[in-house]
Amino acid sequence: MTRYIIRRLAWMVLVLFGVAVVTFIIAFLVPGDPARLYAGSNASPASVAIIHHQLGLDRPVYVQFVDYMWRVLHLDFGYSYRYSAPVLPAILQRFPATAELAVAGVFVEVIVGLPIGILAATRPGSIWDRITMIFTFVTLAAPPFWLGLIFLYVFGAVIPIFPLGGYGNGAPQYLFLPALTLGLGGAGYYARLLRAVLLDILPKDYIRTANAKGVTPGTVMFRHALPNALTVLITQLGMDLGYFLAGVVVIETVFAWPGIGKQAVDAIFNLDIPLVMGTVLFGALLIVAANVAVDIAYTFIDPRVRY
Amino acid sequence: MRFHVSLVAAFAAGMMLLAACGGSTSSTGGQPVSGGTLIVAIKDDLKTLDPAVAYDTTSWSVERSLFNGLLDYQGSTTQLVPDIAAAMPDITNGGKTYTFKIRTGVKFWNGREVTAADFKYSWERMLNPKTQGPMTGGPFWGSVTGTADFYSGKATGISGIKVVDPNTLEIDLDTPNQAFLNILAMPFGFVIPKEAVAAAGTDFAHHPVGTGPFILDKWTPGQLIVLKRNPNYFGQAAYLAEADFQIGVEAQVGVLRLENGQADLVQPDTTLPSAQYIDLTSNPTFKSRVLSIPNVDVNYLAMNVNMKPFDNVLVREAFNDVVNKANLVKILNGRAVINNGIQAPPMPGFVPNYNPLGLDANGQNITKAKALLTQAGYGPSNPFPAQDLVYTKANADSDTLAASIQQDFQKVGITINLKGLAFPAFLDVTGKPNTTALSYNGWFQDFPDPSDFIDPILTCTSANVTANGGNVAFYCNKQVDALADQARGDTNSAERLKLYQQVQDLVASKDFPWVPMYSTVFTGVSSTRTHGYALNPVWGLVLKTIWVTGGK
Amino acid sequence: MESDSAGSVLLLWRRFRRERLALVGTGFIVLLVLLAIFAPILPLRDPNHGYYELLPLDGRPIAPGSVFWLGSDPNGRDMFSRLIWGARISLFIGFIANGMALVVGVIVGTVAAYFGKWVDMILMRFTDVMMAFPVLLFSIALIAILQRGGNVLVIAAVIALFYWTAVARIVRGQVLSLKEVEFIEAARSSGGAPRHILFRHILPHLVPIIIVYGTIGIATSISTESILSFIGIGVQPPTSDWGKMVADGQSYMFVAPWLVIFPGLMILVTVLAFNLISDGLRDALDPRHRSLVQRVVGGFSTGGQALGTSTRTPVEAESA
Repeated sequence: MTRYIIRRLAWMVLVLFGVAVVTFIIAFLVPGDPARLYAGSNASPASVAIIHHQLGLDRPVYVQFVDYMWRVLHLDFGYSYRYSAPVLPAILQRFPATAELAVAGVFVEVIVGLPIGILAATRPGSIWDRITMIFTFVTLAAPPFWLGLIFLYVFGAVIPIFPLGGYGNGAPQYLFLPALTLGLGGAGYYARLLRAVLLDILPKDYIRTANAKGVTPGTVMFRHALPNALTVLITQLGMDLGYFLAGVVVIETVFAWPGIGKQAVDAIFNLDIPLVMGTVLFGALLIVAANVAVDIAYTFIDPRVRY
Repeated sequence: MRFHVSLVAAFAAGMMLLAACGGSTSSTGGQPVSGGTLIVAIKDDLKTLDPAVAYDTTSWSVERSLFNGLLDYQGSTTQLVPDIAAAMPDITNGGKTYTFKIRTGVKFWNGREVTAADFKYSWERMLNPKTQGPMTGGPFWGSVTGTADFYSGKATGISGIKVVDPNTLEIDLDTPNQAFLNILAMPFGFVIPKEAVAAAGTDFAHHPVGTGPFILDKWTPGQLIVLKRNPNYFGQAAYLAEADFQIGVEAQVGVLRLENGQADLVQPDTTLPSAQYIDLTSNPTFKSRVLSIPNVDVNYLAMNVNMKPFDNVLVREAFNDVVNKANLVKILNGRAVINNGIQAPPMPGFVPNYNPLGLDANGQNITKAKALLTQAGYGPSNPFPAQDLVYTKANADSDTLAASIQQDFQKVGITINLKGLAFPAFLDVTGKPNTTALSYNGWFQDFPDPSDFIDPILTCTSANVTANGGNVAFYCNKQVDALADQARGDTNSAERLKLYQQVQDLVASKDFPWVPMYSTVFTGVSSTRTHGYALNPVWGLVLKTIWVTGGK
Repeated sequence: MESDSAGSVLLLWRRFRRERLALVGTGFIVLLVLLAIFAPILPLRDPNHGYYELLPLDGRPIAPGSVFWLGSDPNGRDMFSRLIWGARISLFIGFIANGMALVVGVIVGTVAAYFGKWVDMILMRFTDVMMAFPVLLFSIALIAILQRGGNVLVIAAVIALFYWTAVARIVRGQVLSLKEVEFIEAARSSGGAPRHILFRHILPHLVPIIIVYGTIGIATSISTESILSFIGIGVQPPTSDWGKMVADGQSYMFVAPWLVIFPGLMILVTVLAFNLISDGLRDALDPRHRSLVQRVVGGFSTGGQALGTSTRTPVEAESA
């Protein structure tokens, strides 16, 4: 198994290298001279030329690339035009808000999705099954920005229970609506997935045996069925967390949640390329790390799996 | 200054224009109470709080409470009174020398007392090319003796700014400028301590130090700016203990929060967007809390006279006959008036009902436009090329307004493509020569004097820039420059105003670098617990007169 | 997966006909596509024409009623007409992006699986790299950088740039398992050229899976495209699609909620319809989901994203 872990880590390094290459290429594609943006809109052509040289933009591509890789390895993700500050610290400063939202989102997915999935699986074909099916279909199809706006409208304005967006210094009511919007779509997915998996497991022999032995249905579900079903879910959840952590652009925008997603979108419209690409790189790092973590965790969870 | 289309600061000029005109301008009620925190919801983060560099209404709004200059505008008027200056200056030498006495006992936040040398330092820093501020090389400070050498590097200081003694400052001009006191009162004239700049390294923008009634306590980029009352302020202390600027709040959310009591002010430096205005005026509680004041601004389409097809004056005149200005006013909920000239209604010298082209009630003359285009050589065999209309996406209204104009040009068979940009990008592409042919602009006063609407945006000097120009039509008519120069120093105000009207005639009925469209009315609102909020004619937000109920 | 020759498509259809919900979905989509195609000749108002003269003096948008069935926007434009015309854009981009993603994904997946070894390794690592990116953020950044916001093909291409990866994985998995099947072995050993084998024997078996994931892909593409438009990087005025309509109507949410509700509802129903169709197709392919579950469980050895991601892409679009 150690060999597997090492292989996964090696894969991670390789993929991250590829990500850095692609990021570099994209950043290189930006039309116009980055030095101009860096120097500021009031700078004279002469000072722009100086900065162009200072930034090393007149060196050959491969030299710039090596320099870029070297800097990235040393966690130097560049310098933000807008904030006039290094990129990585700027991202890290906003990251906790995104992390909070990401975890809360996954939490909602589980809290809402699991019960519904179990409910549907234990009563297949019933009215509950139908209702849950409708629920999952609708939440999967609803555009998240629209859902968020509707929630804001209904629960922020019409019945003012929740605050109208913002972070509120971490008070929980500010987290509720964004997390709900984020998690609902996924909740539907997990409900269906769990239902499918449970429907597959429940007829199995070991379940029938447990039932025959007189074990209560609750225990059957929670001790025997679910754990086997969950292995499937956990992997997916882990990856979800990874994607969420990479910055949930839409939710953060609608709810004015001060995370890295919103920061990056603002940066895009401000033509602050280093900050944007830095966030992309950062996000990719998280996604890949989540991937590997989940794979490794899976080997512990499911002892049948052998690599 | 340049600003987002329909995003206008409460800048209204006119000695005649005070609280009485056009709706109330202040919300009073009861005795001022000390203490409390004001919550202000704004959309975009500030780029900088360095007074030498900031040139947008949001930054100026906050700077207003952090810094002071020699002069300030009194209360809700456009009358200048001494601030850090002990008295109004002695103006001698035919209007070319200003001598100021500096008050004693004015302290920076770090405790040090302000001296004349601090002003010299602040202004030289502000005009230093290395600081990259927008005033460098510009017309406002250009008449100060010694600036030319300073810009070119021949001199290390500006000879025209003299420290006579620690409490006396003398400024020499090459030519007199009637608006010079107004120029000094702009935020660029604020005083800052040298040691704070040194301590902040390159980031004075985020760590400013001033003399103002409030201190910058905290700035979390993209999230929050906190101002706290300055207990050692030399003037009358502010009532509020604290002001929190919450960043990233969309207007509609901000207004909702205000209605729910979770915010006190929304975007105080810009007028309420259309949707929010409708929302508030439909709400019985808030309808009366909406304040309004006519703005000193002009909103216009600029045509780059150096780029085809706008190098042809016939085309430019034709464009002046096409835009349905009444629709634009409607989109702005009636909070605007049609303006066919280059001066704003509250400005002295404004010519009422100015309509040199005889446009109809909508501001159009489609038949004439078509005739002019044919005369210019365009027709079925030579169709008019499609044009990009560059505008700034300030808020939802920007797109709506631009779309209306796009539709108007269909009537004369011209295709307009809309190009909405973020404000910095907009400033960039329109301020560069030979880059943008057609743009949607707004200019509001830097200070309440007609020269402000001509010098920075319609003179040959302002057309001669390589970047960041205000004269986005790159219009240059030596006659205009001559008239402007003559008017600048003219002490006879009636004569001055006549000269400026002549400039208007040249621009709006002969040369047509612009399509002037409308001037706006600024509207603002405050929460029910806020008192003392007034729409100030010059400044977007004056915190020190505001208090909240119960001082909480 | 029960599959055999291309005649399985007929079998698929017969089973699909029994899925009621999927039929409803299909009906809706067909109707929508027809409306979209024939929009220019339908008796609709010009979607981009603002009827300013009908607006009240304070510029308030007109509520749904007899004049404008679904109301007007602040420019006095007919929302009903705009919704139908918006379908043209949303559907067009959805189909094109999905088409591009399918083509690239099938090619990459098949080539990787069939030729194996180094080819597989390189292609799959490349796929991994593309999958590692936060899709939405990168799409927005890419379009902004290329300064081609508004160019429908570019938007479609950028969407496709990230979604081909899911297809590639699925297809690769499928081809891998097909490779082992005996008659392929037989064909190979009898000296058939690779291209011949690919086209004659393997690709036809991919058709069902392409159909299923193609349908899911359209839903994802439409969903992603609406998000891009909402952020502001999609189509530019006066062209408008549903996502952009929601974005434009945002600030009027509390004053004229119909500006937001109807376009969003259209996106929801359209995506829902495609999801129902794809579900029905999947059921038709394999009524007991057995291989679905197997792939979910067993598929994680290929890096954990096989089926998971592809069925998940509608949600991915939301989470990214």
